[in-house]
Amino acid sequence: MPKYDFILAGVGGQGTILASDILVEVGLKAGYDVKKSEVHGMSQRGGAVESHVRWGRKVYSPVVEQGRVDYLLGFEMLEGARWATYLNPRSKVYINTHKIYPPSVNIGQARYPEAKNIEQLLTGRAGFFEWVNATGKAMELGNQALAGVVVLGRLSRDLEVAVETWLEVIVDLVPAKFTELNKQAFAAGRELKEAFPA
Amino acid sequence: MEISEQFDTPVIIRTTTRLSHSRTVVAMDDDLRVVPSAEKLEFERNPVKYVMVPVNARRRHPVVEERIRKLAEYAETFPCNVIEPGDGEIGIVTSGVVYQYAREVFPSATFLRLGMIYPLPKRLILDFAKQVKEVVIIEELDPFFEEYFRTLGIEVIGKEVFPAEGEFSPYLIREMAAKAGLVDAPAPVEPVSLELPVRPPMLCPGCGHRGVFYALKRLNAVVHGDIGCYALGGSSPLGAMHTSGCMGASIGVVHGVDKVGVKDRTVAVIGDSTFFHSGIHPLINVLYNKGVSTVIIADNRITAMTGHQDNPGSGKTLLGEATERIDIEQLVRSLGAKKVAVVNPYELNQMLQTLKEFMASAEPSVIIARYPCVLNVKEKHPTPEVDPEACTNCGNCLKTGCPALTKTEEGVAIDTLLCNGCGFCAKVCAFKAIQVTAEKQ
Repeated sequence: MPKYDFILAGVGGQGTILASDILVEVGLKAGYDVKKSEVHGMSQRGGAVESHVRWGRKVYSPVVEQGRVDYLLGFEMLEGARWATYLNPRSKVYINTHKIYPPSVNIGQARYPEAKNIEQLLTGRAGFFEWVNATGKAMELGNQALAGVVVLGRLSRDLEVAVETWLEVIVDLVPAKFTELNKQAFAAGRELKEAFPA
Repeated sequence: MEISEQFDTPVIIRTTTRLSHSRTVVAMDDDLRVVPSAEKLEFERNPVKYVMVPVNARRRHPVVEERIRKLAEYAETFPCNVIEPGDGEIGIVTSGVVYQYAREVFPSATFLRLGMIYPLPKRLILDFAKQVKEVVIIEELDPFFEEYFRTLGIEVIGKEVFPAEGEFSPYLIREMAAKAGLVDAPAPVEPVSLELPVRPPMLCPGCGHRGVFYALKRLNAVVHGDIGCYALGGSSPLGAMHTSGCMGASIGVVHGVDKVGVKDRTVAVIGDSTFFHSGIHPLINVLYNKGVSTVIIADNRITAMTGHQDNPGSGKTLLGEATERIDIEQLVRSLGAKKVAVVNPYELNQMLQTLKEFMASAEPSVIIARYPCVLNVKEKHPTPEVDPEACTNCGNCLKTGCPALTKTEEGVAIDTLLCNGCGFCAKVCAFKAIQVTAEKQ
């Protein structure tokens, strides 16, 4: 049984926690031992959110070890880049081409990094890197908060877990009136082509 | 529960932030579910045990000492204190979430895993020390185990390798253990040279606390804060908090600052839950002892920071049953506060005026800044529109510290995902460049 270490990073309000909850349940349904650890700020919106999810035969630590992540999913460009030290030459990285400026950038005290520099940083450390336009897809579906599930759809192509398992978990975890939209977001993620940031 | 009953003792289960923020599958023991007792319970009348006047306390002390001795004996065979066999070379002593990290770093070591850390099992520890060549203690923060082991004459590797400060992680343990020659060094992690601006937690878009701190910042007040989401009023760009220590300290500190004669315009800001928890006593101090401070109760009608638990102001018990809501205004008036106002913090002008008047007053005052937590009541309005012609990019709205506002070359933009539609940015815009959008019917 392989081990998978995931880090999901985004901004509070983007659906990072829901996406990691889905990833946990999918891992359990697929027969893995699973642990998860997340850190979010005191407020629930606008701050950095990180979630570590680990699948394995037997998982001890709830946090991923630096240099050992298998999949880095960045729901926001800067937040994805923040986890560069967790990458190794076998890591795969998917970063949503979506920017949310932090306050220091808004008030002119800091600069938001250039997309090409983020790409350079992550491609230099990981084995595979891809930009995904998850927020764009989510907005086509009418709700930006679906971006997380779009990214999971893309991720699901790399993992040997049946699509049905993912869909079952989505039905279990998402409020009933959003189930259909989330299924569509997941399907859109599976079809997602490589994107490039604006 | 079994330990508590068997030894007639309180049992404290100590958790840490990391553990509280982690999830995994756990086995439930059905036998442990609390079943309501069918028989009518009677209070055990035993004043020698329960009335702690000195004569009884003196009698009780030997009982407590004996209890500790019995618990230490129990700890020797307590199933959560275990030796996990390994190769006998390195013997790791640890507990809690650090055990999980250490297991990853030392897969073949012998472990002494301590589930109950007081009192410690002396014989088990001595036995463990004999089984391994080197005892390595990995514990976060203070050297609690280490000092006990040393009193038993056991040589250990501890805080000289694993630091007393900061949170541990598997990487940190591996790195430190490698430096001490205990494991192979991890692949070196190159530092990131690209500058990545931080994204600290901020008051949520739509948070009523923003109006309180924005007004206090405008008035250049010295703010004594408290424990809750509103501690974020201290972070940039609002930066309107100057002390925050423990629950209730805002009012105690503002009173002290007043009494020593500080002339700055000082206020206390305390949330509704924290006020119920430990703000009432210091407010009595202010009112009874002739203080003149202004106390702002940031009343969002829920315990927001820890995940929206009900409190005495919400009208529901923690079990969700309806109960009589405690009226904060009536409460503070009954304590003797005469200058009391209930203000909607989104009404900036009213907030500013009330603050100015109350802070300049020679009598103590209480402002109840009431707006329900928008995440709890799930209130959301349409995102306001920015008129790029009118926007001068002055940046005034950005001073509210709302994460939904972004500066672009064409003017301010509002992120529709994050925006809650509270319209506070429109209120602070001097150029009327931000217009609140009408609700869709």
